[in-house]
Amino acid sequence: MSTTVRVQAPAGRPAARPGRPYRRRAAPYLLVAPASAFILFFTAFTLIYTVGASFTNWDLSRPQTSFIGWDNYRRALADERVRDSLIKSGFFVTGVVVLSVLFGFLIAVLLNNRFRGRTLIRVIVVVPWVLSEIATGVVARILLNGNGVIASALEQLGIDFDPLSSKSGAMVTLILVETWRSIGLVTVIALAGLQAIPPVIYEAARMDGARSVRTIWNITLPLVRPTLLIAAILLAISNFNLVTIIFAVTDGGPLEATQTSAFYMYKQSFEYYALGYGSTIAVIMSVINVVAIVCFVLAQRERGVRR
Amino acid sequence: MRTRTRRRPDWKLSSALGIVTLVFLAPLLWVLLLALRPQSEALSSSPLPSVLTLENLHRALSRGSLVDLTQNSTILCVAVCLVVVPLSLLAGYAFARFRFKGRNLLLFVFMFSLAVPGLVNLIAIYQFYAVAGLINNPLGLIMVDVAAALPLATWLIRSFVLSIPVDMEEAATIDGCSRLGAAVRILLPLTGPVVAAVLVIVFVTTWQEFIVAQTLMSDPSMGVVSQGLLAMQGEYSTDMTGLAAGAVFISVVPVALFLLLQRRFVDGMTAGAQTG
Repeated sequence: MSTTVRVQAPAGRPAARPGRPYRRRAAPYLLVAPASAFILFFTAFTLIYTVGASFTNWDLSRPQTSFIGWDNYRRALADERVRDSLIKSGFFVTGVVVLSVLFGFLIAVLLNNRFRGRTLIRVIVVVPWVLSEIATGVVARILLNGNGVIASALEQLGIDFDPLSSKSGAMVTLILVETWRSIGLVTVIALAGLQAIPPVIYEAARMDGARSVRTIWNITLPLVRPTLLIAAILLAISNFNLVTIIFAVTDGGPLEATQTSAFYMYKQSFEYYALGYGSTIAVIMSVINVVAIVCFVLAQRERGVRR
Repeated sequence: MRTRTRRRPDWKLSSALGIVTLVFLAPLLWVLLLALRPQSEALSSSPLPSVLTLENLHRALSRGSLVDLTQNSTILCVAVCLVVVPLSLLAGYAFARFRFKGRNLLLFVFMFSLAVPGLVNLIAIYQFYAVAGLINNPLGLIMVDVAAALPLATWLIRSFVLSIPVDMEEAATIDGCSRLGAAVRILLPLTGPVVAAVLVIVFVTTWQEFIVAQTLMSDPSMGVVSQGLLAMQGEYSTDMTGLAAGAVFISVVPVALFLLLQRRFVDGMTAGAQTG
């Protein structure tokens, strides 16, 4: 390697210092090439391929595939199941994001106090995030099933308990299970945001006579709002594309009550093998993902400006 | 006026923390006890089993393929870690220390793929793999999971390198070291903590692999642990204690790894959310 290539300033700072012109070299490209090859192939290239496939009638049960223009998109617009699945995704994502961010933030506020065992509780809150989703889902089903432990305990009291057999109950169950998993992520992210707030601000508020609840609402929340927003968008994207937990807890049922867009896309593609139509739903989902990612980038920028 | 001193025990704080601990810990303890309970006591309302037994675990392991699948999952996770760590070190270093044409665009693509999970790309991957003969090939699954893990790993390394002042590397290059030589001698020895964070996060998330494996590994013996447990749920849905034992069994590795490296894991999660 040549020693004349100067060491660059870290990204984000202005470019090279005057007098030492920047030289383009192959080195950075070689360094990023292997990782970029993986990522470009498995996201960018596959995305282009999926867009192409969405204009075909590709179906594994059909011998020939042909180009059918916008037909799949017309079909998707008229497909009640697509509309329903988007609404269900909306419910699911909103439920998980609102509950996770709310409770994740409150727990972070609690953990921001100094007390013995703080690390232990933080670890306990994150454990659900570490468990395999399928394991969590299988256990949730054992626990909440109509002939499970809670149901048989409540039966003795004469109460009927079978949330997974009712449409709204199944959705609420899914939301709660996924919230239980996700709270830890929000807590950890929010805690980092909270610890960046200088204690002076709280002292000033206390001197002004602010009560602790009002301090949380008027001082803490606005200061960590950008951090929470980022956590919310991350959770929204991952839950919009989530199928795993649904497989284990409800399998889309009962009566398609928990068939989100992600689940419907998977079903069209890999149960009915309508890969062309599945691609169309995937493209529609990708558009929604991209909108969310643009929000994510904007939220990052906003946070950067505020700091 | 009420003053809140932090040293005095605060009953409000304590009770709130008690509830939090209960909500998160109770289901875990419950499933652990269910896994160790005799099958006849599956629906018993008493929280503690009369005896502790390993017969559920024995049953879960003998009838399913969880042991073989654990081996598959372990190989998958180790292989993904082995590929992701060097690749993300190279790329993260380049993103942090070089300015080059297309860097920001490439960074955006990395961020984009960090956010977009594999599901929407699964049809295309399935088709490529069908053509390339990579269906039911462990290598195929490893590659998808490498691609899934790389963005976050690269972000973490990049943030770490950015946090290290460039001066020492500059001094080393002045002393006649090549630029990459300076990186290897000065930067690399400092990367221990961030590499540990990458390792634990990549291992734990890859262990959760389900949907890609479900699609690409149709041969039940080639799959991963999640598939094994779900198949067991389909077949033996009434055997609650056996399923609980299976769930506990497949969770031991990631939970142990997390508890061992929780500090690094949490740091990585925090840094991962603060990309940009």
